[in-house]
This record gives sequence, structure tokens and C-alpha cells, in this order.
Amino acid sequence: MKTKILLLISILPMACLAQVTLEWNAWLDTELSQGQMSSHFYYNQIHRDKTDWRVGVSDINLMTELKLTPAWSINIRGQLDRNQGLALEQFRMPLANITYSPEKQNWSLALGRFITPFASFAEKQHSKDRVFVNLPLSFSHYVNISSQVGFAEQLGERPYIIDEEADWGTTMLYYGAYSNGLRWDWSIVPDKVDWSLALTSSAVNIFTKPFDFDNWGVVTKLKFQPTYFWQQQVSFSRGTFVQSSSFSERIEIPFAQTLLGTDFVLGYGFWELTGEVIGAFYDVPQYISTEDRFAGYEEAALRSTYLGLNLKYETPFLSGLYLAYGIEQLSFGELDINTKWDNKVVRHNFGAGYKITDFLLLRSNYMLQSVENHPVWEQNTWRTTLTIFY
Amino acid sequence: MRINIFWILVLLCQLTWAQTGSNLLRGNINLPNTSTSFLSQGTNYKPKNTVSAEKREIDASNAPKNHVYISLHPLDFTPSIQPMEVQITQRAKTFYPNVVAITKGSTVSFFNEDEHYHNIHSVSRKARFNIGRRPPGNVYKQKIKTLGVIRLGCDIHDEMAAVILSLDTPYFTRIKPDGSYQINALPDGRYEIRVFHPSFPRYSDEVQISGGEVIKNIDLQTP
Repeated sequence: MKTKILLLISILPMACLAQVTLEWNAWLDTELSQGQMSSHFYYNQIHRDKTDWRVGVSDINLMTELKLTPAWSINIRGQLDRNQGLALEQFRMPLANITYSPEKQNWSLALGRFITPFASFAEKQHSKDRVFVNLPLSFSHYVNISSQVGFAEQLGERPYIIDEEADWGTTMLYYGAYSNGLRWDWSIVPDKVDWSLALTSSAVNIFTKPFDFDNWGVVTKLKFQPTYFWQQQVSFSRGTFVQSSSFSERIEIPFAQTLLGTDFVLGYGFWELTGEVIGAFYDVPQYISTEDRFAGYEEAALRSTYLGLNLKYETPFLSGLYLAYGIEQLSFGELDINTKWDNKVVRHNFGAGYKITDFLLLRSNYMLQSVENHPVWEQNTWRTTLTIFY
Repeated sequence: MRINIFWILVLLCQLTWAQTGSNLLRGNINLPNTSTSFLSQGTNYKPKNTVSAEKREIDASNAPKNHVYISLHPLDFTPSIQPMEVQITQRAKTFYPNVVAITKGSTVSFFNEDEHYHNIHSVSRKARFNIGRRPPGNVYKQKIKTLGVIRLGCDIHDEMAAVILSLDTPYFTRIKPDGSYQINALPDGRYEIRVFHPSFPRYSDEVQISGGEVIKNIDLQTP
């Protein structure tokens, strides 16, 4: 009897594994880039020590989907990319979740690490889905709010050194666009109305470790299609984002962010127009200093707005080629009379892409940036990537 | 002049007779036991919440085992090929059928049965085209002027993929779900036999056709 049970126990996993299938995709980006003298990873994604012409592999990805049963699957993405624009040495696992997607149902549930269901860019994780090489301002430009210090003026211009590490602030949305927690997706009317809801371990502007439960967040997105040439999404998120440090432990004021956004896609013939508006509202401690010395905290309510508009044209005469233009603006509310809490940034992107074959994509874009309505030529960048994908 | 016309007619009759023989080739193709699909290029990370009943049905019809075509390419004569009219439908964000074989010069109609745009394009070598965004109900006809494998995609829905196999022979068929096939009206002669599946290396062999029925079983299990 014992032998039979042992035999059964040893056969059972094998019998289950007989049904397991593995699907995988991979891609690699090789980048040629050049930045001007005032480049900074937090302004234009070019590290200030790497502004000269530079060529090299910038991103390697492997995505796997292990289908345990028709309903259960494990999704993992391994990514090796440049550490703040420097060397290709930063290994991450942006996606690691177990998904339950019952057959004959229009919903799925993911537990673990998943793509944050906020706005449209988060879904464009694969290089081939992105029109420009640069990330949008909302995902890449660091503002004067730190997850350890709170709001501190001039944070983007000089870092605060906390526990021997430089803190430059946070972006409006975490640049990797993924979160930890539980995500529910429901296709209410297939291909017409979709709804996503996620309970996460922080607000969407930072990323926390898998078992870090100091914060909380809720993210939701409704996607609908009013007519065949128009897709619209409305997103909302609210959460906290304090990260523990010797500094933040002394602060009792909460770090909270609320985002409200909407984005659209309009298409006609060979043209596509996409746009996005995000309003960010922060309830954070304000770092007060007098003569460069810490003088205490006050509670601050801050707001910022992101506007983005991209136009893409696919050439009918040369299949695989597109030309694109994008304009973005990140603006900030008033701190007091005539003082904004951060500098307004406007960015122009001029891009082109060419799908050479089914597995090779070449993209190039030139970025012009202005701060407080003054062009900052020293922050302009030119980036070209060749993506090889399977 | 009359004599010339007579001989031309005789020659045409001979050609017609030569290309519509009475032989048939049949057999079975044994495929590797795999669910390999060419459709999942870079889309696995996206949430899978939009699988409607209609899409499940189409996916079942588009299963990898239904992607296999067998074709015979005469080595002793040049067959005359007639252009065909075939249709590829876009329904539930899926091409149906997603693998189709045609003769070179045929016209493929892309019919959008969905309630949103599709933007069909190909970047395959010598067969690059982009038909732009086509609204629901639109039918667009594209003539296929080249031979070989033409891979189709949709710029808006990157999970959509299809393959057109353009051939220089009229002797081809899709294999049945049980792996069997039959090609009729084959003239005597030597042929190159090819088996096409978009996810596997192409199989090729030579076969002599004469004397009525010829049986050829193919095992793709071992390369």
C-alpha cells in the first residue's frame, strides 16, 4: 500500500507536467545614442557620463509563459538593462505572476508582479510597441518629490544623500510600469469594454520589493471603444509611497499620490493620433530648511499635469516605415504666489521607424526639450535602436 | 496559316492533356506532437482577458495542426497555373484562415468583419505592402505577385498573424485534421514534394507519379 501511494505521488506531478507547455519570446535592443552636455538620466535618460556617441546593447528580455493547465499559467519576464543609463548590468524581473484565466469566461486574475493597469503606455512593454525610443515625460522625468524626504525644492537639480545613496526624486509613474499585488481584468463586452482593477503594494510612482507591505495602492482602468476609429481609456490610482530610511522614519506625515488620467487613440487610413492627460495630486511632507539646515516638516498638497500628443504616419509606398511627431508637457501647480513647485518641461520628439523584417525593427528619434519655456539645447538627445525580437 | 493554327491547337491539347493526368497521390503526414504556434510573437505579457467564445471557436479552427499544406512541383514539365480568388477574414482580432496557400498571381481579399480597424501589412521580402487602416465591412483586394512565404500582421493588434504561401504549382492541398491528404489529376512524371508548416522547417523529397494511385506517407517527427 505504501509503495502504491509513493508511486502515485511520484507519477502525479509527471502526469500534470505532461500537459504543461512553455511559450517564450525574447528581444534585444542595440542602441546608438548621443546626448548634449547637460544630459542626465533623470532629465533625458542619457547618463551625464555617457553623452558622447555610444553604441551597445541596452536591453535584453526573455518572456516566458508556462501553461500549467488551460486556465492556470505562470508568466515571467527577465530583463537585463542599463543601470541608470550606465552599464548593462541591472537584472530585474518586471513580470512574475501566476494567472488564472478560466476557460469560457471573460475575466482573469493575476497574483504577483504585473503591468500596472494605468493609461496606455504601461501596456507597451515591448520595444516594438513603442513609437519613440524615449520614455514619455510622465514615466521618465523626475520631480521634486522623494519617497524618503517628501517634497523638497531643487531636488531634481541636486540629490539628497540619504543612507549614503543619492535620492533625485520620483517620476509621476514608475518607469518600469509594473506593480506587486492582485490584478483583475474583465472584458465586459469583448473587444469593446474592458475593465481592470489592481490592489497593489504602493502608489504607481514607485516600485516596492515583493514582500514590502509598508504602502498600499489601488489602480483601475476602464477601456472602451465609442466607435471603430476611436478608443478611450480612463484611469485612476491612489496610494502611498514612503520608502523606509533613516530620514523617513522621523516623518509622520503620509506620502500619498492620486492620479486621474484619460487617453485616446484615433485612427484614419495611414494616420494615428494618440493623446493623454494625467492629473497628479500629492499629499506629502514638505522639507523645510533654513540656511541649508533642516528646520522641520509641513504638510503640502501639490498637483502636476501631464499632457501628451503623438501623431504617427505609416507610409503606404514603403511598408514598414513610419514617421512620427510627439509633444509633451509636464507642468506644476503653485507652491505659493508666483512660485511653482517644479519647473515646467516641454518636449518635442521627432521619430521614424522601419520594420526591416518580421523580427528586426529600427527606430530613431531626436528629442528637443525646453524648461520654463526656454529651450535647453544641452539636454537634447538623439537615440537610435535596432530591436531584434522573436 | 490554317496549318499553323491546326498545329497550335494540337500543341495546346497536348499541354492540357499533359497537365491534367489521371494519377492521384495520397497518404498521411505524421506531425510532431506540439502546440507550437507562430502567432505569439512578443504578445505573451499582455493580459488575456478578451477571449470571446467566437475567438475560441476561430482559434480552434486555426490550430497548428490545420496549418499544413502539401504541394507537388513537377520536375519534367512546367505547369500552367491559374490565378485564384481567396478570402482572409478578420474576425475577433484573428485572421481566418491564418494559413492559406495560393498560386502566384492570385488575389487575396481581406475582409474586415470586426467592429474596429485593422491595418494589414507584410514586410516579407519582395512582397511588402501596407493596406492602411480598413474600417468594418471593408474588403480590400491584394494581388500576390511573388512566390514564397508572405507573413501578414496587423499594426493595431500585434497578436494577429497569418501566412500566405504563394506557389508555382496548381497541385497542392491542405492536409485534413487526421493528417491524411489526397491530390488528384496528376500527370505522369517526377515531382518535388514539399510539406509546409509555418513553424517547422520545410520538408522536401522527390516522388515518381505514374500508374494511377501512389501512396506517400511522411513522418515529420524526426528531422
